[in-house]
Amino acid sequence: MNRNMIINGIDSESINLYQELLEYGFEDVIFIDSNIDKVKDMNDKFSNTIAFFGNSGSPEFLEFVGINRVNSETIFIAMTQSDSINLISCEIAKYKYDLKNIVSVVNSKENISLFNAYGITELYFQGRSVLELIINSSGITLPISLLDIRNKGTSLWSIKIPKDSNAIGMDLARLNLPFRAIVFGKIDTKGNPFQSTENIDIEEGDSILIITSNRNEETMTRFFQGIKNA
Amino acid sequence: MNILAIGSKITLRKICEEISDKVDRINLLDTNKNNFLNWKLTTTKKVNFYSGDVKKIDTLIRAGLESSDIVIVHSENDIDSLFIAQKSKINARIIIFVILEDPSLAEIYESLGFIIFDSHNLKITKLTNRLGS
Repeated sequence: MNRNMIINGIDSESINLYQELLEYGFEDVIFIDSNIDKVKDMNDKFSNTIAFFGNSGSPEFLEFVGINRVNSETIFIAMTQSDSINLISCEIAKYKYDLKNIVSVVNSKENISLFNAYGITELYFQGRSVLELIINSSGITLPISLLDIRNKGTSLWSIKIPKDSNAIGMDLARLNLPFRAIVFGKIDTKGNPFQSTENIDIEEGDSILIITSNRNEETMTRFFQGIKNA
Repeated sequence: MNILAIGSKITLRKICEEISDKVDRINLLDTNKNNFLNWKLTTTKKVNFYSGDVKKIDTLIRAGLESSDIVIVHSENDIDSLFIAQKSKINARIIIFVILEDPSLAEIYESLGFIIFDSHNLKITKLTNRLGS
């Protein structure tokens, strides 16, 4: 079956993505944007590319640009700087046109759980690595997604135990999390790994390895923070 | 019943004026409080006004989301209205009404649990029925 790709949002990142996709052999790619100047620029600069101006929240417009093209599997990518546009256009793609391949950029961390809750799980959070570095250096520890389990909205997470964590002193084997999760174990400050079945206390600086749904990220953060940081 | 109404379009104004005597509290939220200046409801004590970034959860909570029974949204455009509606769904108890310009989106969001009104053909029976029960 043929594959066509719709990229919602024109900016330097989506153009870079397009150029990389060409190298992977994706040729049937079109851009859409609600800014007519960006659309004109795109059509002027790249002779082989087509960009359309319109409202990506309109099913009529999405059909016009080929979201439900016959005999073609459509891949929808939302890359605008607005989380509302990204979320709603992805939901229309998923729920109205039953697309299976949907990827979205999330611009604000507080919206990640919202995307996950409505089934948009292939996400790329723009500021994640920088934010994690800043927040983690300020004494608050955020979970880091080590491995995304594709199409499940679930990840393998690592969370470092901060100084005032409520979890310090808890028995690893009896760790009772307030959400569904598989605890793999911990890695101590010297790099020694311990299985979750071992009766060993959780200590400051340990990294706990957990598999859980992405929607539990905030709950997990709160559970492992100290009283001061909660 | 406590109501949180987000936006300041005339549809929302009409709805709020119609239901004001049937509810305990109406909190009105928009990007700017000045948008409510010519609303008749400004003289009613049970009406409170809030402003801020309506797409942020902190703003919604400051405007009383957690104690609201019903949220009604009609923001700048359908995309924003639907985004705010989904953000407001913080528990199963809250009933959320969304006023849309494009009725072709209604089916998707009704299946996700939202109650949709068509801005061009505003009939609020579903809302008044909830208030009456």
